[in-house]
Amino acid sequence: MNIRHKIAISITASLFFVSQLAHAQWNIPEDSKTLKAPKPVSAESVIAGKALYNTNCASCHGQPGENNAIALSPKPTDLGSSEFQARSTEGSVYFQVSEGMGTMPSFKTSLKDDECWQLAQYIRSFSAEGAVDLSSQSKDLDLRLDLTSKEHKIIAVAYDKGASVEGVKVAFFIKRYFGNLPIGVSKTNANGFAQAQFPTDIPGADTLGTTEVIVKFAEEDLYGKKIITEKVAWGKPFKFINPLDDNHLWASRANTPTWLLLSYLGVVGGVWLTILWVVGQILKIRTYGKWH
Amino acid sequence: MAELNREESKRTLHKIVTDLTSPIQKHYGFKPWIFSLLLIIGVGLYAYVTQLQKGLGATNLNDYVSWGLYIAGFIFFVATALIGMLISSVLGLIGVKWIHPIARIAEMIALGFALMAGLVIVFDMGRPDRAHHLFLYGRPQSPIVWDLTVVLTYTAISLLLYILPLIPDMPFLKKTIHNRPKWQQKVYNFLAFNWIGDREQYRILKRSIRVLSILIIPVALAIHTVTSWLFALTPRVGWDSTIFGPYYVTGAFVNGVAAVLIAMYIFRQNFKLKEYLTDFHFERVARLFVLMMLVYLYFNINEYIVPGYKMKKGEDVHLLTLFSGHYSGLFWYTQFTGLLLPIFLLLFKKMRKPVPTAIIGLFVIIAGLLKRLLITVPTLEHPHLPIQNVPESFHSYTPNGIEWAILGMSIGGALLIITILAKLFPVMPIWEIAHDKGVHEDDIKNYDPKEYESNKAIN
Ligand code: HEC
Repeated sequence: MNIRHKIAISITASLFFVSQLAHAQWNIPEDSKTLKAPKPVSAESVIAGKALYNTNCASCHGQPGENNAIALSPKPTDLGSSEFQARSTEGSVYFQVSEGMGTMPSFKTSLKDDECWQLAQYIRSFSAEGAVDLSSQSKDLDLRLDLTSKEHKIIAVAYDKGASVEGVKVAFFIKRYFGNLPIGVSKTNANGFAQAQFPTDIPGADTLGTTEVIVKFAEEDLYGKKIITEKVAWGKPFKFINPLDDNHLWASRANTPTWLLLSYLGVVGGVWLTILWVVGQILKIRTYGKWH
Repeated sequence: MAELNREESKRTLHKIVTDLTSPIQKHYGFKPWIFSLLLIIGVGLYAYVTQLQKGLGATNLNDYVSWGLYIAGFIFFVATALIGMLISSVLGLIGVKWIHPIARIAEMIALGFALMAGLVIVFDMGRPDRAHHLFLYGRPQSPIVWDLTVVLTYTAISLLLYILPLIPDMPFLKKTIHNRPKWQQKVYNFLAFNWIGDREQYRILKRSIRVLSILIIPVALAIHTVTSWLFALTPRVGWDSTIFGPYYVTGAFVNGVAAVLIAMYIFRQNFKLKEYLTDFHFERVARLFVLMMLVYLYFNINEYIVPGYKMKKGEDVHLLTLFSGHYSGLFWYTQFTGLLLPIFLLLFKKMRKPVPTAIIGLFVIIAGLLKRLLITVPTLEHPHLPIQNVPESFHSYTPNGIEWAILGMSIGGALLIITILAKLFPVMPIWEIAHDKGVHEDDIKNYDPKEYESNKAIN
């Protein structure tokens, strides 16, 4: 850790405390603003930055340029906005990401230094000077699935015009009620094969254990948005039990607990039989009087 | 019982028959009494029609306090009705003799109040036209269905326990009452069930009465326990109590004995039955009264001191409104005039005389109604979640004129039923009283008023 970092830490630390009292301002050192990334911006670095952004930042900031940050106070800046881009440089964004301020976390401990730079380059790619043409790098690949029903393995093959492609990241998911459950990302091997193991503890949607497997390229910007879904009966069979269907105190009258129904009918029946018996006795008194 | 000679026996029987049947024939103050009852019922009917037109919105019931005077009234009615079981069954089975002139009065109260209890529930319904849905769609899991069942059953048994001891009295009525309309004679004829007073008929009759007397004990306990469960089976503060069943049952006995004392006093004065409802009877019932109040007091102490000592969060708001807050005036009034003071006063022999006991009974019964209002309402004013963003009127509840008028009609209805019964049938079992006084069996069996009159003519 160099002296600059130490200063920066003490500045952010004091800023943090100040921010508890009042809404603080970013205090970006002049030399940070002019700082440049060790590696110049490239399609790879922007794509890597985008992936990092989606996992680490989108939950607060939303998508750049779409002004859909979550409601915090202060509101997380829309990092694609021209207002923000106008006052930023690669170096200033790198500083803000690594140091943080107030609600904005510091990422220098959780992300590597070059990842922070990739993030800065991705964010700056929304400005005129930081923009990068991704189309030169990307090519649409094809994807095919092979399922081994015995071992529950999902095998994806990436190929380009019939020839398999090596080193492409493929992401595997299982469709769930509220979203897709990631079960792994793996790179295609020399034969263009990437594979993932279907977990053993996934409940299916029905008694057959039906689930839906989703496979796509992890880096959609590079290889296209191809998605393959396939239904497999690999989940644990699932039977929905409606709590109202059983015999319960709270259930409908058709589902009265047996013990309760029997007690009720038994007691009421016994009492009313006795009442009827007494009515019979009255009739007995009556017939007796008639014949005597 | 002293053996009477033949002449005395006949004379005594004739006196008993005349004393007990003459109020049926002529009766002072009957017309103004019926008139005032009908007036009260008329006003209540008018109020009820208004409520039918406007719905329950015509009352002061609201979204929070949805049980008010009607439900308090319902518990009050069921409570009062319970007395039939205590007097004629429990004491009867033990073999207590002094209840003979009182048992039928108790049974009349039981019948009148049980019948009205069923009606009060209908008054509390927003859609009385759907009352039959209770039978069509009621769930056996619901205490409301249990309550319905048990109220009907109790009413049926009370009716039988009223009718059965009436049967041997019918020949007396047939023989003595002539100046009444035809239908009345027909009723007597029907209810006589060909009674000729043979041993065999007595045997069947007494056995039936005994069976019912035993049966009614669990049914009566059930009716009031289930009524208490309408409250206690919810987790609400003030109702969530394990002693609610016995708490209600003992409260009911207090109420019922009070009602019996008042009725005894009225019949004694108005029906001129001083010889049958003597100071001794009042003294006995007053002792029973004290015993019942002591037991009820014991339950009150448990019901309030146990949670009051702990003052659990959430319960404290409710308890403090009773002890020292909004409802404290009413609360302490009911505890003092409904329990502490009556217990204290009735410790003195002078107080166990007809007039004082009747007055004390009146106070106790009024406190009884208010107490049931206190059990029902404050809990509903303290829901688990704070009352927010609702009209100011939802925060508290006091019954309005419509509710009082309808409750008045229900009480009037119960009194009307009792009055009609007292106007049709003797308020005491002639045959039992006669038997107690040593009248010969044969005389009871072969009673003939003409014979006595001709005897008198010869003498
Ligand atoms: C917990 C929510 C949260 C997360 C996660 C988060 N941020 Fe922020 N970020 C904020 C908030 C809030 C601000 C505004 C701080 C202020 O203005 O006081 C902010 C500000 C920023 C700024 C400066 C904006 C400006 O107006 O100067 C940048 C750049 C930034 N964040 C980038 C990122 C990046 C890159 C990530 C992911 C590595 C990220 N943030 C993750 C909440 C977050």
